[in-house]
Amino acid sequence: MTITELRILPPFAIGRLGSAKEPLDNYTIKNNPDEPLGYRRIVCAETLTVDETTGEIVNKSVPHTIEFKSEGKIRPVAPFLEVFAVSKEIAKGKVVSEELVPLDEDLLTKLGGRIEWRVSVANRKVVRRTGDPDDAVTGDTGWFSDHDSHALQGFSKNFVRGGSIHFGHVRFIRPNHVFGEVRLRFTPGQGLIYGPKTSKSDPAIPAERAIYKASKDWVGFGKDPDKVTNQTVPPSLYAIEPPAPSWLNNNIAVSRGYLDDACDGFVEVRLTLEAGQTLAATARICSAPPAVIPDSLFIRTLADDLEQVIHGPKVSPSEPFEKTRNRAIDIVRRAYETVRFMNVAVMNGNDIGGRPALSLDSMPEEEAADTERAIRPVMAPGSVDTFGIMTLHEQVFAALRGGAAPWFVKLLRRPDEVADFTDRGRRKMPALMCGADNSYLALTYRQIDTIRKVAEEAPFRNESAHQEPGPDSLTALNLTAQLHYEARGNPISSRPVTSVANCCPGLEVDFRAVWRRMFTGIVLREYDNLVMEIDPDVSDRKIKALLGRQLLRVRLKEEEKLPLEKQQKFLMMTPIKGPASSDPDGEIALTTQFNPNGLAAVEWSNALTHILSGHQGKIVRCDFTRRLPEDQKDIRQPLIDDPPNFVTLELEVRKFFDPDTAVISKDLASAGELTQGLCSPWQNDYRECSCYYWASARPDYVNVEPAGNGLSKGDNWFQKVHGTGVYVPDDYIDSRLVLYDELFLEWEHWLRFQVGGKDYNEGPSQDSECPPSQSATDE
Amino acid sequence: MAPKKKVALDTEKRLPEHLNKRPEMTWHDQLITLLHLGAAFEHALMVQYLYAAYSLGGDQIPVKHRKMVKQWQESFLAVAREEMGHLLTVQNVLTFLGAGFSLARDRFPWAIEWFDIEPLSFGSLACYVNAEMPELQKFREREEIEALAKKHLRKDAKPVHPVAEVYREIMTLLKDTERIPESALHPETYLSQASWDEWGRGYKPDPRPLDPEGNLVKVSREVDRAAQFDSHVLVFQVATRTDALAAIEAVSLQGEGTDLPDNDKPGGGEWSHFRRFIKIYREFKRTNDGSWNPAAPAATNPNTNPDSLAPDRESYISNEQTRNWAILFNVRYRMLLTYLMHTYQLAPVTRPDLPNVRAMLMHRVFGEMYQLKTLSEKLFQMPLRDIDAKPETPAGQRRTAGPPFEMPWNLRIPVNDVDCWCLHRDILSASRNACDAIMKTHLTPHQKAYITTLRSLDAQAETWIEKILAGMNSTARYGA
Repeated sequence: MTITELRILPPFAIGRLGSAKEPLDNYTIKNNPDEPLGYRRIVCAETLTVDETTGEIVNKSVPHTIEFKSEGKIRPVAPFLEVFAVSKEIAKGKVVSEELVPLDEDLLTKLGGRIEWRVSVANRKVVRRTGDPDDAVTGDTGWFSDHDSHALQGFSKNFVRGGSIHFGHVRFIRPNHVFGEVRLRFTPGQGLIYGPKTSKSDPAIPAERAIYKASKDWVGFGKDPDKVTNQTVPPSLYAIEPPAPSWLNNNIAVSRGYLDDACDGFVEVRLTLEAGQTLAATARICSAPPAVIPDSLFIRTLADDLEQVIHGPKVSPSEPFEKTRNRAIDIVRRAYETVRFMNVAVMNGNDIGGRPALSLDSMPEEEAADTERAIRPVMAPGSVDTFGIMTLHEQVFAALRGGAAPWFVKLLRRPDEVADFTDRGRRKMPALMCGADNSYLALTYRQIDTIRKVAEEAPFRNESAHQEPGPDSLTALNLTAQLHYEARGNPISSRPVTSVANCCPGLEVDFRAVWRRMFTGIVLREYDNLVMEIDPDVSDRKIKALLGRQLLRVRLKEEEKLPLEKQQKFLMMTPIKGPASSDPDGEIALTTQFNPNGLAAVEWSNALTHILSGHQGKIVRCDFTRRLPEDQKDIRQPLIDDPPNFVTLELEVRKFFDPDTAVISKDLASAGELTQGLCSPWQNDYRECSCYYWASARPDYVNVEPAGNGLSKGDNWFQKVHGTGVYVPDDYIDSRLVLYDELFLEWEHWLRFQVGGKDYNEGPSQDSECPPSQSATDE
Repeated sequence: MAPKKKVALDTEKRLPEHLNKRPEMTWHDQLITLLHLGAAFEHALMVQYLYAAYSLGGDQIPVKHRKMVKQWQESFLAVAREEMGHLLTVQNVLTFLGAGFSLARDRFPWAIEWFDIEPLSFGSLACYVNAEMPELQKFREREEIEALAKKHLRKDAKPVHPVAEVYREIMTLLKDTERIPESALHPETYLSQASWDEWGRGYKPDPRPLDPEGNLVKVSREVDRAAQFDSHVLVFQVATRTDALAAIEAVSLQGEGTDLPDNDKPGGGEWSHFRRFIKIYREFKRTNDGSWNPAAPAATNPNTNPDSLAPDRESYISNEQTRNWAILFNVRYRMLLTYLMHTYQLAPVTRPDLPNVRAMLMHRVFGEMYQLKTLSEKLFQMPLRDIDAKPETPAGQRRTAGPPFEMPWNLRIPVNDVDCWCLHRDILSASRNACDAIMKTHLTPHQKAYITTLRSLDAQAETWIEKILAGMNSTARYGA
């Protein structure tokens, strides 16, 4: 056996913030075969207990119940990261097998090596706004090999002396004779908010957390609009001086100077062998808010996007039918899991109780504001009740479970239709939700193709030929299996399948950030196609001249000699369309004074997938605007082929993952960049963003029950008093709702966990499967 | 959505004698009768096309033909959806005339053999082309198709599309302001009628791109070709006599269309039923060498009627397990129709601008369509008779069942709303019984998963209905 490489699995681990001392016990979620439409069951799983003194695992157990809180404090999710060795068996000079084996004490002894770890994280949220590199908050443990707990302290040049942010801690778990594997544990921060050191008293910022120099740009950021040169989308995602939100106050958003203890970065391990050879591996971590709906999954997750990177936009024709079908069914299931937390009537743009829809936050309201048009409900106002829509989705789910071929492929929104604001376009699925490009949400190409493949093949399948697919095997080459790897002791909420992907800006990560550096030499803006920076090592004048231009289109080098009309063209923008006011069945381009060409950028994950698929590390032909924009209105220039208004440069497509791993490449995003677009502090985002961004992660409609009028009734998750059955529409200022400062002070109280669609009560839960002594692995 | 086509009356073609107005009827009666007949035709056509569509498929189809067959299926389903739109439009006109809803499907004044529900074959396809083709249309296969249709129907008489005649008579009457005075028309029912917004489900052509002057932009050939699989569900609400005339005209023309079959020029993006079917016919003819069959070897008019003297005995589903599934299918069909009728009954008392229980019932109508699809696909793979399940029976001799689409014993719903909800609860109970019978047999994993899920759906529906009944301050009238 020859060990040639190492891996850390999982390659991407999510820690969840919380101030309780004990980390959350391990759990997973499973479908309940006896209640197929019900909520997924929370299943307690093997939990590893670490002795704080010795740093070794002293016990494994399956808890009787899942307690998400302890004495009113949320228990953090502290994931383990395990080290694997790539073991190759070589015969006659050829690799005959390649497998992943856990690196444990025995193997280490055999190899004769020394293990060291290093964790480097950062919070770049403030830097993203101010542009001041000194606003970066970075923490680095340096290399260590002991088993002590190492604090992840974040420092910034713009902090006062002695000031730091506690991002959590990491520990190299001491292997012992029972738990001999090499692993590290990441415990995230407590979800604390930090702020400026000023003479003003701020109840949200106690003295020990007043660390930011009041004279620096973050305090009062936004007061001078000229200094806001690189706005995020959505804009002003930070705690502001009241009144908030900014759109109720002439879009004035002056920062209070708050920071949080979320971060992202790298875990590195190196094994120095006695012979002097060094093997190393990397993984990524981030810390994120708690998964407040632990038994539901969102319709499009980070796992979906990463799988599209791994496999491409098309499902392989050789993929076993049942595997594809199971995935299609899961997509539909996640659709109704998402819908059931939305007050669909509100999200549809209905007037509510006589109050105009414009006063409430929804996609139709956003669309009206962006396009300077009157608000229109998406679907017939009478037809939108959450129960009715949810039941419809459940009917679809039932049909698919019964083997029916999907009939609704054409009703799925294509990624290039996200800005189709005709009734036809808006009613496509997923409906009523926002995508990463701030237009209507589309699934990934791969998700759409999954449903297409099943639709095309199902009519020709004989039901008796059903064969349940086997599990994905964990091998060195199976990146999907690595991505979904379930490390011992890690709850499902530590995995990308529980992270939302429609990042506008996102919750666990702002995944838009990884795409900025997909082309060597340039850095694009995360939410549109503007070239923001040129790599410092670039000497080519033509590339340097791209600064401030738009990437309009990408074409393939191998098609260079073909006539333009025969080349594949991957567009980075899509026209904004809407109904003609005199002809509702027609469509026209929707233009505004700020967007005279009526164009919308499309989110990168889908826009670039065809290029990533088969062209990573290769040269492609990129068409950029020839002319620099004259002003903000000129940013979205259309692409004109004849005569061409663009210049074409050949650029290399970077590799998305580190070679032969499922780790997002360091070349794409450094520490802190995956979370830099998120809200600062993240608590602000829960108050500010409505559920149509991430319904089954940030719910809207909870404790929902059928009412006597045949419709649904329930609470707004953010209304203070639950159990009334009277939904309080969210206008951001109603005193019945949790407001910004209440959240900053007591977020662990107000972000109420939902299990089974209802407020979770501490204690033995009827919604979980936690019989004594039963492990999830026993099933 | 206001219908736009003008009426072109052909007064030469008349109805059969026995459909003329009887002395004891008023002209309003006659008009309603004819509209009921029109509704029955649309309902029958829809079921016929659905059966044909769902019959397509199976692993016996060579791989090289599967994409084509799938496209045929999509075309048939598109047409079936359009027939549903026709049915709803006719119901709207009935409402406009102050008449009730009509869902009867099988009480025709004359025998219509080609309303058999049968798996798609070359012969049945010829019948569909023949039925939908414009009367005066010249195209190269016309005589061949007429001959095939006659052979399939085993009739000498030329099968004429009776729907067209009935609609012509309807339009003649509607235009007659003496026979149908203004007092017979009810524009106030407009909001009570089915709307495209609620029932269309997005099934219409892509929005037409307009240039800055508001003129239509010509569509590409690719867009035109893709349109053959798109439905344009016509659901017209009518508030005036002209609206009603145009609606009936549009419904009538959607089948025949005005496109010439050999014209490759992109049209307005819509394909008539005729154009779709002739395309399928040509493809079938080109690829059919007799070695493969695009459809399941299913029965014609499958049924669960145990009466030995009933018609279609050879299509009785004698295999018990299959029959249990067929009974479940009939229950769900009844559920769909009952929900549909209830939506019409609730319409006059419902505000369409607020979420309402009528719309929830409408969603359930669509939900049941999905279950009928699922059950159809299963029934097309299940044995018709016990002998069809035996391994020793040669594959070429085996027959499968197919969805029976048998009409419920009762198409009326109670006047009282409480009783309507009790009726829904009754039908859910019947579904539960049917599921129980199925669960007692040996099931594949898919089948078991499906029945379990269906039961969960029904349990939710029962809870919902109980809440509604409680909200009406009503005790249950009778237990289910």
